[in-house]
Amino acid sequence: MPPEVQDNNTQDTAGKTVSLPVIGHISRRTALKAFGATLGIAAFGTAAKPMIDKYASMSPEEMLQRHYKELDSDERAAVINRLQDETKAKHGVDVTIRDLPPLDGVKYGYAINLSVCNGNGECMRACHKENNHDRESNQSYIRVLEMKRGSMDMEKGSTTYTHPVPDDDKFYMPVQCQQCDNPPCVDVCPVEATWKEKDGIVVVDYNWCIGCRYCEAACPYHARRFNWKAPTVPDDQINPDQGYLSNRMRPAGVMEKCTFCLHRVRDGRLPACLEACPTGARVFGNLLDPDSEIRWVLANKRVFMLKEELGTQPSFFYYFDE
Amino acid sequence: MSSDPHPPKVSRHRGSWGPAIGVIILIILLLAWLMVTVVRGPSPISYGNEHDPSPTELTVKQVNQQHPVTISVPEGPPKVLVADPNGSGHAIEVSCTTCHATREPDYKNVTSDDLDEFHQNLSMAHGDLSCLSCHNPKDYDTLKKADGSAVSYPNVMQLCAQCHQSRYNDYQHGAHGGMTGHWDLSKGPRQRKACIDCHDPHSPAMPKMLPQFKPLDRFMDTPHPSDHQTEASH
Repeated sequence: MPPEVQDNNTQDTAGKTVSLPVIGHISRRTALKAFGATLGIAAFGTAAKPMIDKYASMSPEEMLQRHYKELDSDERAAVINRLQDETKAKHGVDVTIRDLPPLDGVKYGYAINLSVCNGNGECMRACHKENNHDRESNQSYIRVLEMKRGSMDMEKGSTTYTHPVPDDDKFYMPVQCQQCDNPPCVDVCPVEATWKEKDGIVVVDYNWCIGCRYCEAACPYHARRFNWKAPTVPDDQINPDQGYLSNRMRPAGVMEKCTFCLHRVRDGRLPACLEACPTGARVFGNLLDPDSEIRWVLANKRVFMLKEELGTQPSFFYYFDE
Repeated sequence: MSSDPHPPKVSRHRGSWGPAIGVIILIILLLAWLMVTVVRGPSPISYGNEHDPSPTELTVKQVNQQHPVTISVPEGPPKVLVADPNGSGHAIEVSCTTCHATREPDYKNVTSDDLDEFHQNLSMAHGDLSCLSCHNPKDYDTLKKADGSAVSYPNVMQLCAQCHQSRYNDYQHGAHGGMTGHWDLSKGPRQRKACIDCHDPHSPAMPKMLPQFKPLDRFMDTPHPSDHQTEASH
């Protein structure tokens, strides 16, 4: 039924002068409210799209899957089989998803020699490939910050430099998850989808995460990443060596983060970013082993922690040679 | 949920036995420490001996670990290209002594600019060193240390270490130099770069590099030049 529209400056039945068009008996205020509400709903719809995408593509098994820590070994095996089959169906690639447990007597530590790092960014590329990151956004868990000499404020660092490195007046500081012993991101998660493992690695259950992004806001190192859409990786570039809590294919609408390449380091291997570093600036090892390389660095170098004053207690360290 | 799975347990009932038990535990710990120290020895890592070891001795061996740490070393003395590939498609390469056996060493030659022939395009930027600081005039198929003793090409790291001792010390403790493989040597081997894999011995400073990979990141971007004026009002 078409609404009755009255023109400007006509008199309604009550005898008042109306200055703007009125649709039927709806006042201008009500119309504006309705318009605003429509805009609001549209905005909410856009904001919620990752969530809608996430649940629209979800199988009943996935929807009913319980928290990682509540699954027994048989259930975990079934979940992993389902995920492997899903990757095979979607990408035609045979992947192996492992669920390696933390090693006894191991707590991982990482250090970067800032006197050596020259900001070439190959660590970011290695992370991108190793962890099956979204190709369109060049996603990576690492940001290499170009910093002014004499400054330690990472918020003033730049990631967008494209000139030959190193610049004489700058130093370069790669920042990734610091695997804090007192992780703010874990504290704020409303559903306990992220937690700290026994070996110090903070992990995410991608199937339990609701994508609220509280953890992203809480992390003082800007180390968490959100999947606005399902990461796109060309089938022939998918890394088939995958971990349930690390680099398996992620859905849209979930948080993710650096896990020190959990699927590699719990197998005794070095993280991908360390192997890729052309300057050899990275040192990785077991903090609980007094003979480890990382312990030697902590004992013999001038080591600092990023934003130490926040009390996050990182397992990630930076040092200078001279 | 608590992040610490094993909260420390504190005994509520410490009677008169407390000090005695403490002393016994201390003695046990001391004995255990002594045993471990004696069995393990003072240093678990050995990086070859002081006197020019054979290349195989450069393999780093660690006690109680199944897998080795190997360092990439040159196979032997380098060959010098003296002519472009000939008619049969083979490059003509000769060893150093082929020419140098019949030439008197000239200590006045400091850089490649001083040479009339061969090694002309070699860029030399290594402190105040000259050719014969490291190359051995008595045997050009070897190198020489500052004391005049010969070092074989595969053991070139010993030559580097005599000046760059603190850097070599870092290297020995895994705090300098790239590596691949395993952090846990009980699970697999590790491969390490040698000095000259990253540093050209004639011009050892790392060259500038062009960043090739940039995430399209929304955070931590450098503000555009036009934003600088508004920044002051923040």
